[in-house]
Amino acid sequence: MLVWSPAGRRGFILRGDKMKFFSGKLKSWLFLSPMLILVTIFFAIPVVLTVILAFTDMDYRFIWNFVGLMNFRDMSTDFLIPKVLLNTLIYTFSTLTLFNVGMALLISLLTTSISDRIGVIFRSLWMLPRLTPSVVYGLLWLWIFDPTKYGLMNNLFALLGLPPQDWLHTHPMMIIVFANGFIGASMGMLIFTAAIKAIPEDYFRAALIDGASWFMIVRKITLPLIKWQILFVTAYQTLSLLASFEYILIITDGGPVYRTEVWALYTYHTAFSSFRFGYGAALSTILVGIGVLSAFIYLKLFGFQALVQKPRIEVD
Amino acid sequence: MPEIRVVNFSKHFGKVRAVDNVSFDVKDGEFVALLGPSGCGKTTTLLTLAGIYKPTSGEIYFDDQLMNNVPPKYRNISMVFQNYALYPHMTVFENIAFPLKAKKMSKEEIEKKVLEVTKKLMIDKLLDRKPMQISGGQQQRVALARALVKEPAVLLFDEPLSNLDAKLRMMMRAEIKKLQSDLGITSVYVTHDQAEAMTMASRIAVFSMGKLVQYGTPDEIYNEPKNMFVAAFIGNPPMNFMENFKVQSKDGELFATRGDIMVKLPPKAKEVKFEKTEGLVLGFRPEHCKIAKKEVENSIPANVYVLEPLGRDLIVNLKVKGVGGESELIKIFAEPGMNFEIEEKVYIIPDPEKLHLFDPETEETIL
Repeated sequence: MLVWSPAGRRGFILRGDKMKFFSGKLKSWLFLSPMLILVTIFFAIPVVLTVILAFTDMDYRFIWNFVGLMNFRDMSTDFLIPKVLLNTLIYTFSTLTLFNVGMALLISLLTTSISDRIGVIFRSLWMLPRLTPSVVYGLLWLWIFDPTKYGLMNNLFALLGLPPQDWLHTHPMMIIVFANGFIGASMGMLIFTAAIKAIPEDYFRAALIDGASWFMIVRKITLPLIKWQILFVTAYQTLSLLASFEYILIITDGGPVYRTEVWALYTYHTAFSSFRFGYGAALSTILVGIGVLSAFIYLKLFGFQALVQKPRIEVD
Repeated sequence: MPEIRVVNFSKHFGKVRAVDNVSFDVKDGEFVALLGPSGCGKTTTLLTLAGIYKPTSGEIYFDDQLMNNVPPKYRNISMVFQNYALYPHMTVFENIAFPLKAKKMSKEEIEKKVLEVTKKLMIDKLLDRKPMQISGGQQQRVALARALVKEPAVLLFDEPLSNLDAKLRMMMRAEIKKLQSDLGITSVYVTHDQAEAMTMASRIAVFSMGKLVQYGTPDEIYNEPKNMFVAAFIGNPPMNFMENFKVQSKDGELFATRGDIMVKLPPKAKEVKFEKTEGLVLGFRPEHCKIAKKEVENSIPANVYVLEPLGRDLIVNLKVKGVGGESELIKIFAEPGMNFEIEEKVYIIPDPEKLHLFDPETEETIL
């Protein structure tokens, strides 16, 4: 018997246990399938392959030769690992705190405190790097810090009567942090701005009338109310910074002498310059582990439990 | 406590004239209501008093000090918001302590003051809860406590009772009025509920489309409305209007007539200079009439349409034959104990002292 269910969720259903299964569970899997297929092909399979690959010593001959934990043992004796680990830590931490979260928050707080029109102009300017192709953006930074007198910074230095500097040799880490930060801040800025604008105007009005200063409003009202967005951006950007290396590749290629070689770039170099696919896969596996671990730490740090407290309403 | 003076105040948002050339004053310790439908400019006026908006033109004075450019912080005001604006991530205690913290008061003093005000408002047992964990009525009290704790010179209310259920609203109405008169804080209260304005305020400013239509005591607003808007806005059910009346004199008395309807106007009508004597609107309140079952002089014949019993009162809905066949609906409070049949023919006898006449074009009151 065909029955129209008024809730409309199941559409036409056939009465009987067998048909209920088809209309219920099977249909939900059917609707999920396009996404599931994409995730399987482009995420699950590569992850599984990478992990399997990590237990081989595959090189340019592409032979699946399983060597057990050898790659991981090699890592413990690899003299570059401590250097790469420290670089990754410095790069991720400084870009994240100074730019991707810090600068993003600052821009959002400032541009939502001034008139809307000027705020939009400022925020649009910060979006420009996103519209620029990575290679062009990378070359732009190379030109800014060009060691000859034609670089932008050296031009400015010349105006002050100072000699040209070889920036890429003296401050390579600073340059890659700046390059990644200036582009990375725009994502946090977008999310924080949207979150701040979603806070009901009356909270700010109440605080102003109650005599709070701008700093007190930011500290006691705005920041606590956008806590979840800050958590999200911090976690997301940590993962994306850990995995990203394209600007470093273009600007310094990890140099000079491994001074900007971060974990993801080292993985890339190992796999695609030295053609040690097995060792590269093992390095990747560790990186994924670090990412997952840091996401859990963030959840704990921001007190997920406190946010899902039960209501205690009683009728009086 | 200061006296508030608003002089020729206008506020425009782009091309929208939210408030247009409004002037009124609030005396020291007075409770004034700004009354009007939504979008009439009453909340804009309140937010300008608070210092959130700056006037486009005109002046706001607290006593003799010009306040136009004084930030909210230095106005010594408090405000209760419609949705209470309680900070969701802070406990009740932290919410109430917020204005004192902004003043950089000592911890002991803050604790003492918060306890004092929460005891008075009977919310001292909720101090560790978050706003989401208390009921709407309790939230209202917390908002009130936060407004009172810093002992402001001026209290501003923005429809504070509109989110409460009817019973709680009646209770809080009396409670806020008592608190205000006990503390003697100059108060401005925005509402769209005429009953709230009538019961609580010592004076009411009626707003319509950004303009102040009438400013006076509840008595004046009720008995001498300036125009049809005020007449219709105040009172529940609102004033009845009947169109197309003529003013005629007979035997030295003035009458309002339409067809065979003839109602006597009060003696004071003789002092009015009528610019028009035709096509006027006759107005009378549901409570200022009697209903007779037999025809009497100076009455309006009508048929019973619907009865609305309210327990203590009975509202009788009547149809009166209008001009051109359409009939007008009139609501009258019947005397207790009267019985009516649907379609029964009755006669409305308006109290001549309480009759009004309006010009339908300008909507201004003539009588």
